[in-house]
Amino acid sequence: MRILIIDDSEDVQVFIATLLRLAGYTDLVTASTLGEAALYLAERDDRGCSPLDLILLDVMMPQMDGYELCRRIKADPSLQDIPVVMVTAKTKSRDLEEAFAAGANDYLTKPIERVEFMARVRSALRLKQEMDTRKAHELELERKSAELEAANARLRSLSALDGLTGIANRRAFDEFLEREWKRAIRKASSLAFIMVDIDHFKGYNDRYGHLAGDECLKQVAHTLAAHAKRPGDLVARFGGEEFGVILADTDMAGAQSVAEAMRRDVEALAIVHEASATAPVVTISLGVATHVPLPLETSERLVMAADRALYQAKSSGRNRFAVAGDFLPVS
Amino acid sequence: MEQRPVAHVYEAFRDYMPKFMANRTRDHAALLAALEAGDLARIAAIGHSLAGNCGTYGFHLMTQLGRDLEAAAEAGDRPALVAHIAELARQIDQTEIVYQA
Repeated sequence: MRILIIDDSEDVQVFIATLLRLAGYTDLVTASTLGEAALYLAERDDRGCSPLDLILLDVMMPQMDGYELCRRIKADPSLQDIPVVMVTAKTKSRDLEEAFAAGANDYLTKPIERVEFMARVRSALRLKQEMDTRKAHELELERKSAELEAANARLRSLSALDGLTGIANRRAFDEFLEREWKRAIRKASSLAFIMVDIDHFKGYNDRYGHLAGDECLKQVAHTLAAHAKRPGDLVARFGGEEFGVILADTDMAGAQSVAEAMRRDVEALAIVHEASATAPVVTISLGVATHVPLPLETSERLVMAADRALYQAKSSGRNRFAVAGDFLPVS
Repeated sequence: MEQRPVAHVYEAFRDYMPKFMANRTRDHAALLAALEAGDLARIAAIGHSLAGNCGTYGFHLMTQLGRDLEAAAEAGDRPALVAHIAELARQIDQTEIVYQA
């Protein structure tokens, strides 16, 4: 417990310090002037808190009004919780009132009586300890709340991600699509959806095993995800070897351009696929659909149109994209 | 013949007593200088702190003397001030300190 004694009288400083040391309080600092006191009051520990636990303040000092100093201490957020006991030879009730009005926690009159003095000091220090404990509990509570919030955020993020590839899962996709669909209705803008399927993936798994299959899925997922560059874009794993791509504010020309870039990039991964009838490497087929949604329309139509286009791409020889021609209109 | 003044002082302050008495001698000199200069406010201030300091250590006669000095200064009672300052000198010189556990 660090105690600051502010008194211009050497006799009083020695008296107080001697009694405190006898009672086991050894971390004592004394100040005879406002300048010395200011130095101790400005000290801060690693956490930015004052190391002081109690201030014993003389009311009458040359060039310093103890009441004014007390007011300043109580106005400083980093000092206001430190109990201030004013020590003075003034005994009128007006003086007492002024001390408490200045924010003093207690008041002792000179001549100082030993037993009373120690009782007041212990009481003030107990008060400080209780405040410190309360503050520590509050800090702990804040820390725990922050941890809990972080854990919740992590859980939310985990529940939105596909466990294998780390990209968005179907659930996140559905939520995202609904949001973008509504936004597109509000803005009367074109929303694009691309359905992606890895060609002959069953053959790949049979040939190279499930571990290699998983690795292939991861590589394709990350290659596709690299094309979702804007906040309104999302690449999600639908399940198995199927992926869905949402592109906000994208018309058919833009969607075709992204689809072709995805196809090219997956092919360029050059993942050997000897069981493929399409190419010596892993390839993808894509179905592209776009639409400017109208109120009361549902997003299912867009997904189904892309699914049909994907079927077309597969039927036409795979490793290509096809567009949903029968999905009208794009205004 | 006037009785020798006695102060009952807590044993823990024994080592400090020479310094304490030296401070009273300094107070006495300051009081004489203030009296010479007619600085009654200064005398009142010294009397005030004398009362606080001496009472705290158990020097009750000096405590009363401090209060009397403050009152006489505020009243502008010069003869009383002269007498009180002389009495302070006597007490500094003659006070017997009895230590208590």
